[in-house]
Amino acid sequence: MPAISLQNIAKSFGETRALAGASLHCELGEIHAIVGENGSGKSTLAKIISGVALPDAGKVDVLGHAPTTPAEAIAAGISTIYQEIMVAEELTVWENTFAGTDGLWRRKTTTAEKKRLARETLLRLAEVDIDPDTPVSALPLSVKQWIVIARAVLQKPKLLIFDESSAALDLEATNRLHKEMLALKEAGSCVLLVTHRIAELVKITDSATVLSDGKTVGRLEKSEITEKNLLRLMSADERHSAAGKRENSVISTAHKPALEACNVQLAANAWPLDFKVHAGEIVGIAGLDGAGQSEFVSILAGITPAPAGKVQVWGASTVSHEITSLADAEAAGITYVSGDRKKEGLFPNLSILENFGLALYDRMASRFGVIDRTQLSAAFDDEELRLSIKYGDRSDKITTLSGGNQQKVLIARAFALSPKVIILNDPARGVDIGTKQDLYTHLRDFASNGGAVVYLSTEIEEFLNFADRADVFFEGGIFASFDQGAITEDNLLAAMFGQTKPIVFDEDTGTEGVA
Amino acid sequence: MLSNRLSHLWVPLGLVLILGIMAAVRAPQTFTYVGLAGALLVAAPLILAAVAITPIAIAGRGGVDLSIGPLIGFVNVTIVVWLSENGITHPILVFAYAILAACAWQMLLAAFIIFVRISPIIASLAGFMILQGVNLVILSRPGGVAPEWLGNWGWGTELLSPVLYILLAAFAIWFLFQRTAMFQHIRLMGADERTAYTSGVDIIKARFAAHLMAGVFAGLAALCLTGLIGSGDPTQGNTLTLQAITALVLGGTSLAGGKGGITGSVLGAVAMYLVFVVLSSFNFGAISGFMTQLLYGLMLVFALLVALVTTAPRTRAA
Amino acid sequence: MRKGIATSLVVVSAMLLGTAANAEGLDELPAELAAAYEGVDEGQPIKASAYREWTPRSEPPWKIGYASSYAGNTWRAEGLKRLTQELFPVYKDAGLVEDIVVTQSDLNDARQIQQMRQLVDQGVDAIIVCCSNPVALNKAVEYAYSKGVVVFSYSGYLTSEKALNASSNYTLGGYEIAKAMIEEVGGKGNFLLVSGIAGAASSESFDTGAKRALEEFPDAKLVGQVWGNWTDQVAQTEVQKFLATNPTKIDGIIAQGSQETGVLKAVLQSGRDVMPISLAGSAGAACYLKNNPDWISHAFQIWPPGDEMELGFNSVIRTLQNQGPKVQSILRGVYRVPSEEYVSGLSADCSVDSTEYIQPGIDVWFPDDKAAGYFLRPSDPLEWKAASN
Repeated sequence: MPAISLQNIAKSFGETRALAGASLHCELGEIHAIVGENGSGKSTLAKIISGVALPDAGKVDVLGHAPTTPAEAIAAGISTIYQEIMVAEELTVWENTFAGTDGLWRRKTTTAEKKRLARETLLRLAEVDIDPDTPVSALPLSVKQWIVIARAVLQKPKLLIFDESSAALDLEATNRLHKEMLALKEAGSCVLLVTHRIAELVKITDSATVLSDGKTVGRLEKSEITEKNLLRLMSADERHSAAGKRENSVISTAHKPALEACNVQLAANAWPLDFKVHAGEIVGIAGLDGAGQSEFVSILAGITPAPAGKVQVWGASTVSHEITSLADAEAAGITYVSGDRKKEGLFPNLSILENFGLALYDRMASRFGVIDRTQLSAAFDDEELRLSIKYGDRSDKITTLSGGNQQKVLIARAFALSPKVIILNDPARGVDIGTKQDLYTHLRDFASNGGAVVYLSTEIEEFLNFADRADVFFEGGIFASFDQGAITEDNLLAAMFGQTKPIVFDEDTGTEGVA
Repeated sequence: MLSNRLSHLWVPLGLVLILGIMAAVRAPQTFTYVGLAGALLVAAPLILAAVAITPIAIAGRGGVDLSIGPLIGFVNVTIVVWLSENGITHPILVFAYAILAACAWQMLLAAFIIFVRISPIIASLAGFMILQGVNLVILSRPGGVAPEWLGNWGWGTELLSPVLYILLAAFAIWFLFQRTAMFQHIRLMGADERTAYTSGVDIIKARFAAHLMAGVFAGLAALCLTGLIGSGDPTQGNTLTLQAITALVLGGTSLAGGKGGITGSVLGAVAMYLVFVVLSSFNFGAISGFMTQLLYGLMLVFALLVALVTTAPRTRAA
Repeated sequence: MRKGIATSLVVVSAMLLGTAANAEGLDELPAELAAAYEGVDEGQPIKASAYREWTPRSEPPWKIGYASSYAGNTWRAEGLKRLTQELFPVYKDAGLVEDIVVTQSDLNDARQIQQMRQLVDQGVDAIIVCCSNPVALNKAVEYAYSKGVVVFSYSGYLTSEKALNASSNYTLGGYEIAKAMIEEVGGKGNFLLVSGIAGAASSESFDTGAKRALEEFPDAKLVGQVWGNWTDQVAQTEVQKFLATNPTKIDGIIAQGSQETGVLKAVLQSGRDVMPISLAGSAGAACYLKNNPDWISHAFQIWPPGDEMELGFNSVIRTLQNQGPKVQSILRGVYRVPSEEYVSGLSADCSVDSTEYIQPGIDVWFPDDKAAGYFLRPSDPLEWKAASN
């Protein structure tokens, strides 16, 4: 009996099409992997199997069921470890470990037994001895991850789905996890691994389904699962290649950098980071989710203060100004654009013009605080033309725009502040290819006019032909730094997994290889 | 670690102690046999109302049941008008009616919150207004007479009274409920509804169960209120809503869900009763009512500040 | 109409029963006083009082508690002022009252019950309460009685046998006020009723009486009812809302007291011709009458706040002095005044914005000789002390 058989699954979330024609097949007693880049739809596929999301179209057969709720899936013997770490922070370790395992009213296990089992299991899996009465909020992320794993494993599932797209586990931990998976496989269960840790995948999986842009682009059997094959399938599509016309520009590193980070630590005992971006330079930042790159750009932008080390800008003279707050950043001409529009940056209830003008109100207000609407409109006209924003009326709510155009408004807002440094955190998320091209062109222009760009992306193809340098984060540090010529998908991907030796060290960002 | 789970009780416990000492000094008769009997009688409706909204608050989504006061008022006026005036006065029938009526309302409220996806505060606010009107339609003015046995609770001169037994029964029910898996489900749902859902908890049934418990306690609160005032009053219940919420918050139950229990709510309600005993012992004249409000407000701010200060380091550590 | 008959029957039968059982109670009252009991609220207890032979637990000077249920409007404030600023000093000087303790419960019965019990425990000899739920406080009243403390309810009643009550007959008041208003505009037309607080006992009593009067006039139509909470500002807003949304012509507004100034202002703001509005003691509206003498021919005094408080206080002192109240409820009849007399006390530069009350004064509204009729062994409360010394 097949453990999972999915045919032609389609699923959209609002405007975003997550899956369009994804198929998957795997048997009991095997470890199967879903592989793909960020945004290829692999997590959505996992959610459909576990009953969290319902497909718009296609046929679902999981252990003979088509689960419509997680409860149904669990009843059918499907346990899922989700991409997000699903814990209730206020509750204790044992309560979280045994969440949802009891009957509606009756306990299946006594509390004492639950505590004992939770402690035992966590000792075995995480190799840490934790008082099961500890509230989860007091524990580090990795332990929370283990609690979620323990919850799934303790159910003795027939199908275990592990979405480790952003798993907070180190290599050694991963090995222990693999042992668990192999044990489950021995016991006749199926393990479905959602991953992009290619090396590990090669080691333990029996077969793999490769997704790209919501479609199944290939299936590999055990013997075919090689790093090369996977990368070939994952990046087979050439759709993103020409990212803006690239002229080789010579960046004078002799001058002081526009923005500099010295000995910044992302956490108390993390590796110290050094980072520089010069006027006219575009630096790409890459890394797997949770490798520290997002935290790092927040520190650069002055949103979160650095736990250790300092971020500074150099003025015209040799005097440096430290950036410890948003106000500092603003004064130094650093602006930040987030790709997570809903959470950061967008005011869904305000109009397009208001969303554009918010940050400009201070500058465009008269002495008495009255905002000069004419000036604001004029500024919007300029940016609208530059970014070719498409909209109905500028007084329409921003939410009437498509994702790409919303993003353009936010970028327009950043440009209108005439910054010296612009920091973008995955701005192209959910944005169509045309808009991306526009965006690259504008950033290029901005750089050639003396601006500095820090560009974090989850899609590494974005850096090709676009960035002057790409820094790759791995486990909280800059693992490798590639110069323009060395920015290739293979190099970047490899570095993201901490696999290959760093190829090129920028003389300023010398970092030990962290393995 | 046990202390950690009970840490939210320090503030209300401290308040009760301080106010208790003040009451003992200012109004020593509060702690005589009859004084305590009277205190139990007067405080019981508020205590039970605060207990009633606790499971709903624990169930999360910012679930504050604003309709609790008018609901208690509704059961009160209907006991008097529908039952008592029609000769239905048997204790078993009255008890069963009070609990079932309150549970039925809570089920209705839960159904609206779950299926119509109205936020609890809006659903219960609408409920507040609806019941407030309904109560006045049923009984346009205070009056009517409670069944005799129920009215006799109002003497409040014996400590070992039905009111005490009801309170004890309420604690027993809660204690048993706390030991069920359902209580865990509700806590989990309140702390993180997504985690609960993805862990396979039936969040629909869990929310219904939280409201069902609220209904049981609201029914008991209504019986105590009816015993206290010996009659029906269409407006008396209304003031209970804000008082019960104040008691709940003083008791350390988080309106964000997942945290708290009835011990805190009971302590909160007792603290509020004591404030009021202490204040009544001063001759503030016409302003004493406002002084009470003012003090409730100050106590609330104080309690929240203390809670914030004591939990802040833990949050940062996370 | 049917309800009216039913109510009268209850009263009559109650009186008959009283007569049959013994001659104590209503029968002992002078005929003139007994007339005020006609059409009384059916719940109001009018049997013989429990205090015919009763001595308080302590000697004078006494300590008196006032368990007020609300302090949020001018009417309550006026009553409290009379108690603490006028009556207390006089009775203190006379060596009758040692202290007056005031508590306040914000319309919360549970609190009021607790405060009454606490007052008893703190050693007061009598408790005055005002206008509460007629049943809710009964057990607290009996608790007080068991400790030798008398509870006296003014401007409202308690059904307990152990309580004494003093008030106007609100049902009769509502009836008379409504009837006078309907007759004022020719026995027909559209009327708006401005009630007090929905669910409050005396407010509902008034409305019962008013509606009975309306039923007596087939051409008089009640086109609306709003609740002004006995507060000018609330009444003004509510009436404004009503007038703005109901274009119907209103011929007269039947209003409970303590809010007619607000009602008048709403009418003035609406731009309509000012129709007659029931007047019952607010100085603001009275001032308008003084400036427009043709507006309405009469006014009523059912609940002058200070005088009503004084009636209650007076009765409490008499009871403490073992003067022996005959019946459970002392009922004041409806006091109707012609316009000229009503406004005679107002100065020419009075203001429509005034929040004061016009009070007839206790000597007019409830004179001593009248009060004496309610007691078995009457004497002037202030002189009683002197006599016993």
